[in-house]
Amino acid sequence: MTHHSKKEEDPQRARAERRITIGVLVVVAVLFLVAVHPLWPGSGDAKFPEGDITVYVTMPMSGPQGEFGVEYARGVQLAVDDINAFGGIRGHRLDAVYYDNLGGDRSELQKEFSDAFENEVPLIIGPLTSSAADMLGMYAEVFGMVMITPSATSADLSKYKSYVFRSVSSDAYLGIGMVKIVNNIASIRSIAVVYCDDTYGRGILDTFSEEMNETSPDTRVVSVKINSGSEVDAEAVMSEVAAADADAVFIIPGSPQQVVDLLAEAEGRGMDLLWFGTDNSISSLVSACGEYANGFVGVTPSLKVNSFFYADKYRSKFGTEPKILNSIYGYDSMMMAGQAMSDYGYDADGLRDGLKKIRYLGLTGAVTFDENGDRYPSYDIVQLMDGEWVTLKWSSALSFGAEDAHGEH
Amino acid sequence: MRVNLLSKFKKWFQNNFVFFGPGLLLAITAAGEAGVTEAIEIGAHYGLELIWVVIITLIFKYAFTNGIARYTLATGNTIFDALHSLPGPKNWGSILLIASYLMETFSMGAMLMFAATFLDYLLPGVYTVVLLSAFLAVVVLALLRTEIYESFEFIMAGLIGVLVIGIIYCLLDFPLSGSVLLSGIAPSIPHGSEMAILAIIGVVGSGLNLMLYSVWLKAKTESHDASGEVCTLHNESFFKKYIRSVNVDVLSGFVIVAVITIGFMFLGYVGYAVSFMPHGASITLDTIVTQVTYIFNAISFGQYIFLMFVSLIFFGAVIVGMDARATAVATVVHHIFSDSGKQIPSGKNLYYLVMVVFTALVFLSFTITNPMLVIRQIAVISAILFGIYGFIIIYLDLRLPSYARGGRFWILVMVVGSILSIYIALLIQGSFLEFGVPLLERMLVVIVALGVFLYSGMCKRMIEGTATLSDKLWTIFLFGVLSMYGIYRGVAVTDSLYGISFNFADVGPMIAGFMGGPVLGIAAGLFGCAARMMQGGVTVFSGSLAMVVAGAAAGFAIRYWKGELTVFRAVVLATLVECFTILWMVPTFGLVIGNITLSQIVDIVLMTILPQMIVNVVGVALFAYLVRKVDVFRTAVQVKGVRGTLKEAADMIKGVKK
Repeated sequence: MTHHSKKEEDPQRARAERRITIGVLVVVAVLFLVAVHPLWPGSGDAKFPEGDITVYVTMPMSGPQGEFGVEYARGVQLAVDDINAFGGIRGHRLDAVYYDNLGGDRSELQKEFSDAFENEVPLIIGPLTSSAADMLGMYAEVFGMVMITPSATSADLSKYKSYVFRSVSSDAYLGIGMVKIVNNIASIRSIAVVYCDDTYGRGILDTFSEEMNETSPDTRVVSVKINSGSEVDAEAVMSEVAAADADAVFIIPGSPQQVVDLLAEAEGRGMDLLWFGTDNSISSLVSACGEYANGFVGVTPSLKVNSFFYADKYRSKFGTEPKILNSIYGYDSMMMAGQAMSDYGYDADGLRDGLKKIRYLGLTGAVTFDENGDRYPSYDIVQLMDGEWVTLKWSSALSFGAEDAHGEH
Repeated sequence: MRVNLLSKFKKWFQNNFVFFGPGLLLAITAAGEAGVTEAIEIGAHYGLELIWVVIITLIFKYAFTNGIARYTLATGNTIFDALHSLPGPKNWGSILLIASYLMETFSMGAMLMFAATFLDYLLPGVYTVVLLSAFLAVVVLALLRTEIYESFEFIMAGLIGVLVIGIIYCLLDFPLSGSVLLSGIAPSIPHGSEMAILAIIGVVGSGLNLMLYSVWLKAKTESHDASGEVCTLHNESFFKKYIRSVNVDVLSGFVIVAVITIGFMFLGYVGYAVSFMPHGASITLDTIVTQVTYIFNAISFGQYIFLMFVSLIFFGAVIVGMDARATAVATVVHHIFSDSGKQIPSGKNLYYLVMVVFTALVFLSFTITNPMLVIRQIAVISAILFGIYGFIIIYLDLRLPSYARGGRFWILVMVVGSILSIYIALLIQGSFLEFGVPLLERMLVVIVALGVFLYSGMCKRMIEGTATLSDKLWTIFLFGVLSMYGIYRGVAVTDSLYGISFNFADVGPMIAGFMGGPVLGIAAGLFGCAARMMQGGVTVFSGSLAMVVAGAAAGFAIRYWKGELTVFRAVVLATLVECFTILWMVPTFGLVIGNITLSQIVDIVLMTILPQMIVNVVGVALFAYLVRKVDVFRTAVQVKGVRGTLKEAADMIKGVKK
């Protein structure tokens, strides 16, 4: 609004001022060189081997989870292609080696890890499931190798604080989000949480119960345990739900088939329930369940793709439409690792340091890692409508009352 | 016909909107900064519960700006000229302003860190935010040496306009009910929201740079004759000609600010809701970015647009803010020095000199790694300063010609706004309300005793220097007992594990010191010392010696001042004594004796410093005030002077006789 008037000065002074301005601009240029990276990497001593550099990707490429594993791996490959299209990482061509871990088989994971370790590969992307990630994460922490999982959501993974990162939000947030959604429906006074008995299921149950107790202590939470495989004693489970006089069911299944079985049992009994589920309920198996499943609400890590070009790239590379959009998490994992590597070198410790500092805006949104190597939450709400999973507008899933304010500085 | 209507409209617009622009521009740019730095985060914390603060703040700031404008139009002077000539200690208003703007420079540094953080998301790679911020700071300086920066305000206003449209579009996806808005209008202070309330008062609708409106207004209303001399006639018709247009400009600006700020609060609110963050989770700049960019994903390239625009808005805010503040500080410094007849650099060089100081402070602020905290703390202090400046503007307003004075409603708004700022600040310092107020009440007893003492013959003899030994002993006893009373009537901190109590025990020894010099001060202090020793606790040694130190300091000070005690001197001395005892003696004794850990010391210092300092300073200041009121010191000093002259005359006569 007010500006200092620059009046005409004598020529000598003008020359002096010009010199000062040039000096300032030189300092700007020097600082630019220091601060803006490709010319001056963050650590200053980034290490790179001769020739190509390799990262390992471990996913289930076959079996019941193969569909998911292949999609994540495709996301990684698209990122590798993009990195190489821009000249690789500091001039080194990037190569990804893919392993089929057969659904997180323990011996397969051990074999892959020792292979990566012997070959001095600093990064493994994967695995898919929380239990596999738990095992591989332990090795990564002990032996000092960076692991980025694009899909394992167990809150328990946060215990690996040094070398384990994930580009997907932790279940600690999912349980809390589900409470927000449930609290929005006034008719729910009692809810049965049907959870699979593993780290994934127990983690979500704990955060859900804790947050519900904090925000809506009058709502009764009844927990019903199921096994973590694909089978379930649907009759026994639904009997327990009926005995609890629950208005709603929140299911944390080990597999989508368990959801299908429970829905069928509830329909057979004529139970009038509201159904909620975690991201692994959101499956084509469930959407094929018929009219009774209509209205099923699920929460999934955000699948809003922050790019116009990704789908086209995917189609032209793989000749098919993406079956699920989760591959974007694979893509972002590789891109972040690539950027960190570029500045901090092809070395596990450097890569770890780079990932701890990185701020990245990718297909899945803005990502930074907290002190546990977790990203901040970003979720979508979906609902089954006429056999299709539809992403809901937030206005239909949440309402805002003054009591919702809850942050802490 | 159409031409006629058009010319009529043109004339009407020129009459009513002659100033349309700067107030609006200032308000919009300020709304953008405050929106991102404060409103989003406050929305995430408290939802829309603090809308009432936004509304009250904007009403207060409208009245504030209106007061500044009326002063400028009625007198032809800027508000900075007025600060220079306030009653009280010389130049205190100007010094306060310089200090305020120097302090706000830390916010500039924090804003550059904001800009750097947002930029970091956009740039591929891993960056150090401090380095990026330093880089931006140097670019700011380089731009300030060109003329380009002058257009930044317009660019910023444009960017904020686009951003606000984007926010409104994105928020259509979320339910904003009238009842939620209404619940925010009803005043309530959610638990722990005092800092947020002060931050709103401090930054919404612009910070202390709001006072620069006066400079702009003066320049705009000045006209010059052929020789370049200013020839504006400041009379009633001149005033009435412009004030309406000024009001329209400022009012429309603040209405837009209200909409933008509430929009940003709602953005923070929904961002938090959809983020699934738990109850009581900590909110950092990065969590805010994650939440807001998620919402902006509703627009194509929305995330990139948001981050880029916000980076530019902060960058522009720093350029405009540093320039404006440097101009104001240079003007005020020029006033101070030219009055005292000292040589100072020319206007332009002084501006650059101030800019160098600002730059140093900006770089210094980069060492504080949490820019959100810096901005919050500065906003809080700005709010308190708004309270002080509010009273200054009321004072100035009462001295304007009647046609230019604010009405009763204006005064009411200013008083309420100013008091609210200071009251909330005191709420944050809960320890002051909890302990300071009861102590002040108890000290009233001391004041009454003092009043009686001041009119006594003993007091008069003490100051005149004709006191007998008995007078001196009685003075020591009286103020020693007063010190003991201060100890025993202190307020114990019930939830403290350290056995601390707040007291006004330094008041007695200091008054004894003022009355009879260091020996009396120390002697009176020993009474309090003994009482404090018997109380015990972890600060027993430092607490006991403090009274002796206070008495000695007052005794030496009154000698140095040659018996001339003013309220200002008393306040300065008492403040220094309290700072010395609490900030130096407590930690030193604690660490040397080893009965207390460093974190306990920090706890104790933070807990005690404000209430203890206020109470003791008020006590000593009241004494100094009463002394001057009853004129006892002046008379005594005069008597002393006369005596001295007589003694000199007698010596001379003796010398002549010899």
